[in-house]
Amino acid sequence: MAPNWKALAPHRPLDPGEAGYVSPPSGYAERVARLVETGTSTVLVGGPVGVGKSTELARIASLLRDTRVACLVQLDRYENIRRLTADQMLLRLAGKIVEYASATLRIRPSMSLVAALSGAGVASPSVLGGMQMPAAPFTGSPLSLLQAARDEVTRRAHGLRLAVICDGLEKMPESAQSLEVLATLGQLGDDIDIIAAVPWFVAFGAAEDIIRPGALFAPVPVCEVDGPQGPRGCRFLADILAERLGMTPGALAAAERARPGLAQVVELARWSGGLPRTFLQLAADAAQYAQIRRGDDWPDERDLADAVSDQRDSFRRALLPGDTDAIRAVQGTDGREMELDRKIRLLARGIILERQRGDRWVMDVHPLVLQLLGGSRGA
Amino acid sequence: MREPGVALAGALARDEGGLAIVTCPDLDLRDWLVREVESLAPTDADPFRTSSVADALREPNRMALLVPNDEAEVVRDLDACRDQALNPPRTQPIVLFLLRQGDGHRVLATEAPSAWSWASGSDVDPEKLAELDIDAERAAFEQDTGSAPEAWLVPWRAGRLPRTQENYTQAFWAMTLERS
Repeated sequence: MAPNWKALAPHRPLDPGEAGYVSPPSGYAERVARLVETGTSTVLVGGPVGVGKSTELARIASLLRDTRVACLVQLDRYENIRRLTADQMLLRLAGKIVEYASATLRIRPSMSLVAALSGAGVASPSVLGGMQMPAAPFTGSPLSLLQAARDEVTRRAHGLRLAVICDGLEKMPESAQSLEVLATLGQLGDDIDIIAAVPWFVAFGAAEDIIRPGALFAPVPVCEVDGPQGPRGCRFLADILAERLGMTPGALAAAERARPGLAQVVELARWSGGLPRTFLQLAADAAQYAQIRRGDDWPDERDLADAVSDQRDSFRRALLPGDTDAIRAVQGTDGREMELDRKIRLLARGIILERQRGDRWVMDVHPLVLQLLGGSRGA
Repeated sequence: MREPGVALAGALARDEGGLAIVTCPDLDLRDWLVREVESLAPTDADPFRTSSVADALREPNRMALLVPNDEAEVVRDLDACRDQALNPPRTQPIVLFLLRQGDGHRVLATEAPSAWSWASGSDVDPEKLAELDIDAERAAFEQDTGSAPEAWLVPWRAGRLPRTQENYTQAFWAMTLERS
C-alpha cells in the first residue's frame, strides 16, 4: 500500500491522548510529570522551534490526569499571542478549565458560572449547550472568574489539585506586556500547578522568577542523532515517521530495504539535527519531489538531497551578519561568551542546539548550518 | 539541481494547511508570481488574495495568497497566530509573498522563529529562475515531453490535459520557458 505522506503534517503536534505518541529518548514528559506529582509546582518549558514542546505538553497533560485536574490550554490556537493581555489570558484559562471539566471529567458546571463565562465571551459552545442564561449574570474581574472556575471545578472533582498546562506563550515577544502576562500567571495561587511553554528570554536573566520564585526551567532536549547516542535518537525519529505514516517500524524498515537507492531514514534523521519537525519536513519534502518528478511513492537519494537543499536555504536566510563567526566560536563551548540577543535568536531557531554531554551542557551547531559554514556533518 | 517549478509546486503541495513563502525580487515580479501561483492552484484550492493574516485564517479551506501591505506586521502576526491554523485544521496552504530584501525576511530572521520554522523548506526563491540557461532548459523540456513549451501549453490551456500534480508542475515550467 502506498504511504500517505500528507499524513506527516510536520507542523501539527499531537493532542492529549491522541494515538501515535512516541516517547523521546529523554523521557521528558514522564520526568516532568513525576516532578509535578512530587511537589514541583511550576515548570517552565523551553526549547527550539520544532523540538516537540507542544506534543510533550499534551503528553504531560495526559500523564497528570490520574492525580490532577490537568487542563491543557493551547492559548495560541485562540489568541494572537503578540497582543495577548493578562486579562485575556485569565479569561481564556477560565473558559478552558470549565470546558475540560465538562468534556473530560463529566462535571456539569453551574449555570451561574457558565453565564459569567458566556458574558466574558469565553464559554465554549459545548458547555453552553441549551442552557437558559439568567437575565443578569454574575460579573467579576478576569482573575475572580478564573478563581471561581477553579474553585467550582476542583471542589466537584473531589478536591483534586488543578494543573494548568499552558501552550503558546513561548511566542510572546520580549515586552512589558509579555512580562505582565507571565507575572499574572504566577499569581494564580500556590494551589495550582503551572506547566507553561515560555519564550527563551525567560531562561536568561531575571524573567525566570517573574512567574514564581524558584520556578524550574526545563528545556525539551534535542535528541542526539550522531555519536554513541545517535542510534537511539534516529530510532525515535524513525518511529515518529512510521506512526504518522500508519506503518509499523518493521514495515517501514522493510520498505526501505526492498528498494536499493531509496532515501534512508537514518540520513533524514541525521540531517534534521534531532528536531522532529525538521525531520518530518525533510521527509515530506523529499516525498513530494518523488511524487512530482516520477509519480513515485518513495523518495530516492536525489529527492532527499534536494529536500536537504531546501532546508539549508531556509537556515541560510535565518543567518545575519556576524553569525558565522559567532557560531564557529560557540561550537563545543557552554555558550556563555556569546552575546545574549544572538544566543537567544540562534537557540530559538535551532541553529545552535544546547546538548547535554555527560555532566556538562555544550553548544552544538545544526548539521545544515554546519554545512553552510563549510564544515562536515557530525564533526 | 532543483528545478524552480518543481520546488514551487512542492512547496505549495507538500504540507496541507501549511505555510509556503514565495520570495520575489521586486514588486513587479511579485504581481507576476501571484498570478502564476493563482493559475497553478488546483481548482479545489479556490485561491483568494488578501493582505491580512486574520482573513487568511478565516478561510481554512481555501488557498490564501497573502500579499502584504506591511510585510513586517504580517510576519509578526503569522508568528503569533500560527497555531490558529490547527483550529480548525487548514486543508489549504497560506502562500506568503515577500520581497527578497524586504522587511518580511528580516523579521523572519530576527523576531519570528515560529513562522520561520513553519515555512522551513517551503520558502522558494525564484532567484534560480533568473539564473536559468533558457536554451538548455527548453531542450531538456522538449526531450522530456516531446513538445516545445508553447506546444505543450496549447492542450493544457484548452483544458484537454488532466489537472494532475505532475501536469500542474509541467505547466508552471512550460510557462516559465515560454517565448512570447
